[in-house]
Amino acid sequence: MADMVSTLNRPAVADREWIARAQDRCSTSRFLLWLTPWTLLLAAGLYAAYLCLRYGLHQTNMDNRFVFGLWIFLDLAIIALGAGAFFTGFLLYILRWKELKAVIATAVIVGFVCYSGAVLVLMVDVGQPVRAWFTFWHPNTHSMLTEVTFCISAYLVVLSIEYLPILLKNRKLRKVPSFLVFEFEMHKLMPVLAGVGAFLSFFHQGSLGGLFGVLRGQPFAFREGFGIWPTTFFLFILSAMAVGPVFVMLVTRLVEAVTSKRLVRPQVYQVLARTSGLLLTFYVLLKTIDTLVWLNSTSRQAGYRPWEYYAWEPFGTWILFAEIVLLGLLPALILLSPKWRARPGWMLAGALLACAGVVLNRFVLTIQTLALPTLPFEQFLTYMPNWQETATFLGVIAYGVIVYSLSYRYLSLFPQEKELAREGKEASHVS
Amino acid sequence: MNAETVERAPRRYGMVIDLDRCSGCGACMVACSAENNVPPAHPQATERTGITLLRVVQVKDAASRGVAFIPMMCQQCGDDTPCMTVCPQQAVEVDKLTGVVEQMPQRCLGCRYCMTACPFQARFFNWWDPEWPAGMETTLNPGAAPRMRGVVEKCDFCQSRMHAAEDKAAMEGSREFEYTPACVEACPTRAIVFGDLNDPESDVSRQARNSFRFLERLGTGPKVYYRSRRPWLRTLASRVGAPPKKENGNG
Amino acid sequence: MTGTRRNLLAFGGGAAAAVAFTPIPWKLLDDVSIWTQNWSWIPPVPRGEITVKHSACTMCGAGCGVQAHCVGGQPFGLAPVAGHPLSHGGLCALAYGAHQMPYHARRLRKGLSRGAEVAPDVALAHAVEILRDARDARRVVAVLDERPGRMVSAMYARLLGGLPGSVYLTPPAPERATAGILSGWAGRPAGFDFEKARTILSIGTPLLDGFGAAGALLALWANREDRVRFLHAEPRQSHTAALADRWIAIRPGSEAAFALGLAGVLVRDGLAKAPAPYGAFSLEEAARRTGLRPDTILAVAHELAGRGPALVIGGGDPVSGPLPRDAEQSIAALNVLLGSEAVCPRHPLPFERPATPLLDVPDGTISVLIADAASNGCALPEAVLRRKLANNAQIIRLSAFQTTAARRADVVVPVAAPSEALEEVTAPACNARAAWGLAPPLVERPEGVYTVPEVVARLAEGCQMPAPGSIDEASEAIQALGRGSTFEFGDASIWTDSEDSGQLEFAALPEIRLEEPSLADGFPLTLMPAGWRGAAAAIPLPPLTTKLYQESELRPGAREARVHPATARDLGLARQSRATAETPYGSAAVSLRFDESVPPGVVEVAAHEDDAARVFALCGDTCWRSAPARLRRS
Repeated sequence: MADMVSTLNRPAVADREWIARAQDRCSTSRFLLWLTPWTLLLAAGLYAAYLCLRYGLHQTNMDNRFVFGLWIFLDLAIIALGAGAFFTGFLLYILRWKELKAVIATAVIVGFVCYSGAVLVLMVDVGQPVRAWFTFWHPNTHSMLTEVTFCISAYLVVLSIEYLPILLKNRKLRKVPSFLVFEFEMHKLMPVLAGVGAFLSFFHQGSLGGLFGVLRGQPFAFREGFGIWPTTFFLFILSAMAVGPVFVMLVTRLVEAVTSKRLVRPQVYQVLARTSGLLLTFYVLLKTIDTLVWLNSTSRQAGYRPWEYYAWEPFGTWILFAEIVLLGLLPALILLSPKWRARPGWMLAGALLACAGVVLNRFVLTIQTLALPTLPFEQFLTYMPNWQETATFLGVIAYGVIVYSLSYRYLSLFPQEKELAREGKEASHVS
Repeated sequence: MNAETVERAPRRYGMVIDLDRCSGCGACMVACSAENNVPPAHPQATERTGITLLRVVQVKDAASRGVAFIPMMCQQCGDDTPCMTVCPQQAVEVDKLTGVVEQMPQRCLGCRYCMTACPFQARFFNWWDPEWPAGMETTLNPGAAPRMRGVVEKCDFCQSRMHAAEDKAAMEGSREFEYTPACVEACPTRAIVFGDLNDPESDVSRQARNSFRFLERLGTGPKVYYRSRRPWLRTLASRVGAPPKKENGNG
Repeated sequence: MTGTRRNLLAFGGGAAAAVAFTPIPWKLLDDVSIWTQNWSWIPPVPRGEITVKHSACTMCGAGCGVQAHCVGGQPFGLAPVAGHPLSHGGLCALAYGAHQMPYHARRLRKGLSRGAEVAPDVALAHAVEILRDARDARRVVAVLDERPGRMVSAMYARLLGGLPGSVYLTPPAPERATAGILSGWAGRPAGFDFEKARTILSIGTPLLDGFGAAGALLALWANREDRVRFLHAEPRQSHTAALADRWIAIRPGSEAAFALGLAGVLVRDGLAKAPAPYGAFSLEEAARRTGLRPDTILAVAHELAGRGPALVIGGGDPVSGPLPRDAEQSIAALNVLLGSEAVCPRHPLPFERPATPLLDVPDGTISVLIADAASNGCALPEAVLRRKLANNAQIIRLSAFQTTAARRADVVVPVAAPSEALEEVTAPACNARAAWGLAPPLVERPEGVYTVPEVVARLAEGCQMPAPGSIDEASEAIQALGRGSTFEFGDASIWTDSEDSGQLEFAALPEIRLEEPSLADGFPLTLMPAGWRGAAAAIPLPPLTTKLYQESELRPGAREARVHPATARDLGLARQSRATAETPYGSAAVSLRFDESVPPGVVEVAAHEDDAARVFALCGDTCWRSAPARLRRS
């Protein structure tokens, strides 16, 4: 029966030659059908971005107080989630965790999508995108944002280079001899790239945290630190590293669910989940210490008493509890415990909670920081993104889905796919 | 920078604002906008998207039924100037000769990071292209280039006036000059005193001795000082942070 | 050398590397950089010689001196004039945007005839025709002059002299009220010498926020130290209430009761310097009506009597209008009772003609109304004006702007905007010393647009009446007086009269009866229009004043309604929610704001520019200070 379905779904002649042999993919029309809604969403996003670029940022709901809105929050969030790329690369190529070879391609593509998407949104978010290159021309080396810009640009180049060999493995492109040679040479370069990528990522994940941590004028966000780096610098690195692996896992599981195929062996997931669990535990510990130091010392020195921050609805103390315990400690314990981790449902829940925790952390640091009053006579303010902001962002999500879908269809992302398919067939024969 | 300007002793421009003299008339706000070629509000602009390089804020004290008006502009932070340190492309500079924090709109990329860094809400983004009704562009101040959409701007103690005064002095063969920012000139009650804080004999230095600053404990070293005899107002300024009260936000 | 692929690649790579050593990429980068820095649609700043011109601000009747910084002759910024006898080196917010008025988006450069654009001379011809018809039909013609006392006012009066039964009118203005009543009682012009006063009580009148010249009173306030004390009685905590040394929060509409209560105390305690029938008005009655504690009234009365010379100022608000007649009279009477030395006789200007207060004109009597272009910065609701007009009355307006009132006039003759023509300034009506000066134009007026004296002359000419004279006569008349002093600043000057050494003698004070407030069932709240000088005036606000209302919360903007949080809570209304304000006269949609300075039970609705008409329509057509109201969620 399964065979019949896969025969029916076999690609039509149109793009069959582009799909790797023995890789089971749906028909062209079905694939196009899948792409249609995402393309429409992408078009809406492009239109919204056009409005912002053509007429100015008054097209958004941001204002002089909420100078950052949905876009910056989501940029921070997806860059954190995209950290799986550098961290998986680091584990595989530098620490030689061979089993991660099964997901490295997905990790790289997720990273590429997250980073390029973030950069695209940033280009709409700044008031004068044509001057973006001034940061390289007149860099202010004291600024965390300079560090972020430099590292993200450089890392995006690294990701593109890492993406190339995956791309060149395409059945059709392999036939060009020089591509094949190039791809082979690139492979030797991978550990170097992974090292560079890890270094760059380390810094820009940290700098993104530093972005708000250095803001002396925002006592809610300001943190003391070590040297020029506030504690948020290290917490961001750690939290990104902690959720990177489980996010790669989530994406892979999602692909498995959508395509109804097994693509990666469960042991790989166990490795990813255990890694995340360990790092998350460590992160929650440090985050707790940091929060206590901030509330009792840093913030008091600036003249702000802890409860002031949480006196404004809807951001009560529940948000602190949710961030550290519900979406921090709890998933850390789930992922850490081999017993719970062994159950796919628990593992998935743990992964989801962990990712949500990091997203909430980015939300608190961006949106809550801006909502809280600093001057004694100011008010708590609220902000809601409008359709232009939402559409631009959804457009980027659509872009990511499209890039990943194309990669999944035409490139070989999962080295275990064939084996698992064969095993599956054998199993069904046996039964 | 030529040798001549370097020779001059560095000044540290600052202001002292007597809150007991501010009547909240708003003349300074209009004069400031005229001086700096800030356009009138876009029809859709609000108090959250408008450009008021200087804004007068009304504050109240429930206990004493007191009301005060607080003129708030860029406080020209002198210690680790938050906006300057965060700007990724050096569009913010602190003039070594005057201590004035200057914004270069031509270099600004409009990332607005400086606006999050400013604790005084003294920076404003151009959400719209500036527009004047037909003919009104002839009333623009020749000393201040209008800013385009997508960049950040702020008070710079009327640098246009300073440069004009400096040029005038230079033409007369002198390096000594004085100038008055538009708001100081416009205040009908003379609530704002402006001058060189490095000169211990200046009015501004003498008045700054018995004064306070907003958000002083954040350690940004503002150079705008405030004075008041009203205890509640002094408390308000020193006790940074909004009073904890449970209520829903607006907006 | 063969053209292999390898060679081609090598060549390409080499070329690319070499380009980096040529100026090409760097020049391109530089050009891109410059291109991104200059946006062609941003207007360039004007260039030219920087000069200074001197004139006066004509946004209202305060007559403040200004110096204009000009580039190539065009003003780009206004500054105050130190030592100016009227403005004392100060200016208000309106003045700093006044130089942009000629380019206001509402600027009228054409005439309007029944709302349609026509050439200026066609509009003027139409006006002449209306006036001629009125003369031939012996109908009542009136001139409405917001700034009486100018030479132009005298010219209007001469024009009316040829039209039997005509009347020369002036609308209410806070500065004119108390001084005007005192003048009436004394039988000669009277004014206040604020410099002499040691206690100043303002009742329902924003003395420190747009009363007279901003510079004069604010300078007095700011430098008062212990010399002068400012007391202020008003239901809401307005700017003046906030600035006063003591704010007496009386109930809305209880100004007369408060003044009579003070008078009662003065008479009872033997502090009155003039005989008056007010002893009968008991302290308890005043306390009941004003909502104050009796000892508050007692203390204020004793302070006024004990810390003289004292002044008590009424007149109402530039936006919410004059106080009711009983309040104005009882406030004026307090000055007589106190025998204040700060109330002084005033020499009138030689060409000054008495004007009839608009509110004193019988309803429905005016057939043709000529409204002058000058603004005193105060609101005059259309309904209040219309009430005085006969059926089918015609309105001729002189205006530089397309305002709501202009659109509703039968003819609008376009005239010079502020700073476009030679204009006269006089001292505010409350001043004890008259002043007169000329405000030279700062810019040329657009072609076709008239000056006011031109229009008056053409109207006279069209009706075959003698020429009404010219502004030049005024300087001659003043020189002929041979007294006073002249303050010269740049190319402008202002003459101030010397002190009138005479004494004021007041006739016996009339007995004032309190008008009982009308209560309307089902309207538990009180609606009060609110605003600031200029916000609902005959000319629009300078564009840059958006900084004060739209771009900040210093002043209320259109459609804003402020209520005490408790009032809103009782009605179940949320902050910033939309609501409908209803009065017996109509209803209007408003956006609610919470404001603890508004007394509970009061809805303060901003009367702002074009939107003011909508707000005034809620307030009736005799006194627009307050109306019974209710609020409904919408």
